Amino acid sequence: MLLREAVKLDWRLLWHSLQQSSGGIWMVLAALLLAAATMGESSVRLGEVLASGQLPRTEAAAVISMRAWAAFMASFAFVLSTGELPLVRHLLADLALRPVSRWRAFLALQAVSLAGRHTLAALTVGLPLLILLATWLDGQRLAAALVATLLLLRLPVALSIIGSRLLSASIALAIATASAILLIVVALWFQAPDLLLAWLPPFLLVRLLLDGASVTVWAGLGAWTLALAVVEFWSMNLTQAPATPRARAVSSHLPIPGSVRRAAQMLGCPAVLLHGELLRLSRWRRFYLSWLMGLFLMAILGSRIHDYGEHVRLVLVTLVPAHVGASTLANLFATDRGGFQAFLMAPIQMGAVVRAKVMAILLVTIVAELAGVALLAARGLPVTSIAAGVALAAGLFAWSTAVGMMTSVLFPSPSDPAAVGGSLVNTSAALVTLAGGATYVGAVIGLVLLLDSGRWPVWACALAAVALLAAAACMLLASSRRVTGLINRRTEAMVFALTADPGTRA
Amino acid sequence: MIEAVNVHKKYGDVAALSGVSIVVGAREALGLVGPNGAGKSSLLRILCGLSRPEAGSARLHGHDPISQPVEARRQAGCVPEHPPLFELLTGNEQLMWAGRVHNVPERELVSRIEELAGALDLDDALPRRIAGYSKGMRQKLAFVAALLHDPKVLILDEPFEGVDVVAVDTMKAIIRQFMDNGAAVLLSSHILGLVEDVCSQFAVMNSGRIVFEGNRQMLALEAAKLTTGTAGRQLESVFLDRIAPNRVAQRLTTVAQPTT
Repeated sequence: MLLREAVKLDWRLLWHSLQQSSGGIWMVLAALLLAAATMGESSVRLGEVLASGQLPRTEAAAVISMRAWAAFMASFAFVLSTGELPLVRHLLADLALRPVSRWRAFLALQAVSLAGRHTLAALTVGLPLLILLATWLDGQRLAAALVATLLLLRLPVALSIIGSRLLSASIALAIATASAILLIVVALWFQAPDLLLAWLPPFLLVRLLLDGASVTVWAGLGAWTLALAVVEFWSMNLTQAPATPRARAVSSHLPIPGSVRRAAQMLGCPAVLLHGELLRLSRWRRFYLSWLMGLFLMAILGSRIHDYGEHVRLVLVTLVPAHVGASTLANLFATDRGGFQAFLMAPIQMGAVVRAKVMAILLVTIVAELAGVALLAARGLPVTSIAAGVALAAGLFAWSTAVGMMTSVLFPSPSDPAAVGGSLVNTSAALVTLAGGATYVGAVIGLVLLLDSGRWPVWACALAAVALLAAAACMLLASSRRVTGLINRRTEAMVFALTADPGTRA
Repeated sequence: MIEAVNVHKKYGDVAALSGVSIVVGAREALGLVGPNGAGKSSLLRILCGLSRPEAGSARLHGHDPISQPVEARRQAGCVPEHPPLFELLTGNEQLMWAGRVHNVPERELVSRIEELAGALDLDDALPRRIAGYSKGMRQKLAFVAALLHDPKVLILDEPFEGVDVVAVDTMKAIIRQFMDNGAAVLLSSHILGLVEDVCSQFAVMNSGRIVFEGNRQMLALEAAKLTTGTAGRQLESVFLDRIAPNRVAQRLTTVAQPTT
């Protein structure tokens, strides 16, 4: 009875989410993207299999491992965008009111994550994948492939459930940071990221598909499943630890290096604003999580940079941190909510506030970008190529800043700073950001593909890249000049939008 | 000094303010009262620089909050309808931020925070994030943040909402001390007794207009004229007379009926 009610609750929340325009758009968009990617992949694989009679195994390992990671990331993004975490909160709050044992609550969570809204994802992604697998694999490995598909869909749900319970504890963030650093260190210094990557679930799933029922692979997957189940079960009883009061309530420490402070002042951004923005950014779980996932993605992309499409991968490695930063730029005041009024009542120009926000995101992005540069240098890529990649990433940041400044003022919407999932921007801002980002990234990828295929000479590609950067710089300049005036004209609309309850936004 | 002259404001077709004018001098506190939707918060938002009037002008200590925002904000401490707080910061960080943007010297800022937060029994909560604060704690924190730079003008929209009795008493004393030291105070509240306690001037608003304005003596005279007044509660009597003169307490017929 409880399980049935839990699943019903999940579908009710899905329906509620679909009724909100932004929730609906994001879910449909995510489902379409997943379906398109899977169908495209299926067609290509099917074509190859039909043409050659079999899939070349040496190439398949590299290609499929990337696809597995892409599918994992997409599933994770899907789980976050469909608002799994609010669901867990609702469900646990509901369960807390009932006299249920920890075991039954745990089972209810499992039922929701297996039979709830993610059935939708399974239907969208799973069916084309199964058609592909049935064509591609022999009967013996089909069973393994089915298990792999199920695990691939279940894993992000389990991680999001655990995350929603553990992320309140700073220890979870410390573990995530340590994992990211470890991965990058192994990739950089030992040049053998596979040591770690090979034992992560997506790679185990790839090995399951390629090598069939190997005992080590099954043992690895079994260990992961068991570990996740144990942590999920344990997290059911976690309560948020109360903050320990410090000996002295008031502290006047402003921990910004002098050089950064001076640079900020020169750019018209008071250190106090920059400090406030950095503090809030470091505590915003959503940004922190995206940033860490960006680092992981960079390490994965960079680890096999020489396999194929070297320039495409190089550009992707440098663009990932800029893209993570850019996703936050689209709604700069989202987590300020009522705090937005504090800027308007302080004796400062709103231009300085916007500059501080952009600079805080830029500083965090630079840290990730440096890790990417180190990774690329360690893989032996030429300095000129890396510099070009970084320049194009700077262009993406400038482009996204230009678009983000406008969307933040024209389409502001509040966001719960404690939420990890859900849409950060409203529908209008999402469409503008998507169109803006796709234009720039599409142009960059197009250029790199032209370079790799040899259709355009290097000088022509370089010229086109410079033109793209110049366009980004011009957009940033124009946007920066307009933003203060625009905020002054739209102050009232922004205050109304940002002080509204996040659930009631348009 | 706080000054609003012939201020008009519309939301779509609805006129929120229709030619409202007020003046609050130094060492004065004007209590602004009125029913829901009377236009009090609209007027206070304009004075705090959170909204623009369609017509008319406003001045805070001689500066227009729209055309000279930085100068006007330097002199003003505002507590708007929604507390202007950053949920991801701790109370301490919010207060340090508020003081620093007003360039209050660090040592002085720390002393002021300790004194004000201690007076309002907030000091234990300061190291915690604002996201976990109750409504009353948020109000108290916003109140402290508005006072840190020793403003010459105080604009307070429902500052006592959700605040406990002891803290309300302290807040009243703090407001009076600011008045005594030359500040001009504009206070909006639905708790008429508190307004009557703190303020020296009173204004009753209804449908975007000021329907009564006067000092304590004028309020007493006006209340004395009324036959339906409530003894000892002059502002409430005048308020009820101006807002709903023919009001008759209606007896409910569908609920709270005696059981047969």
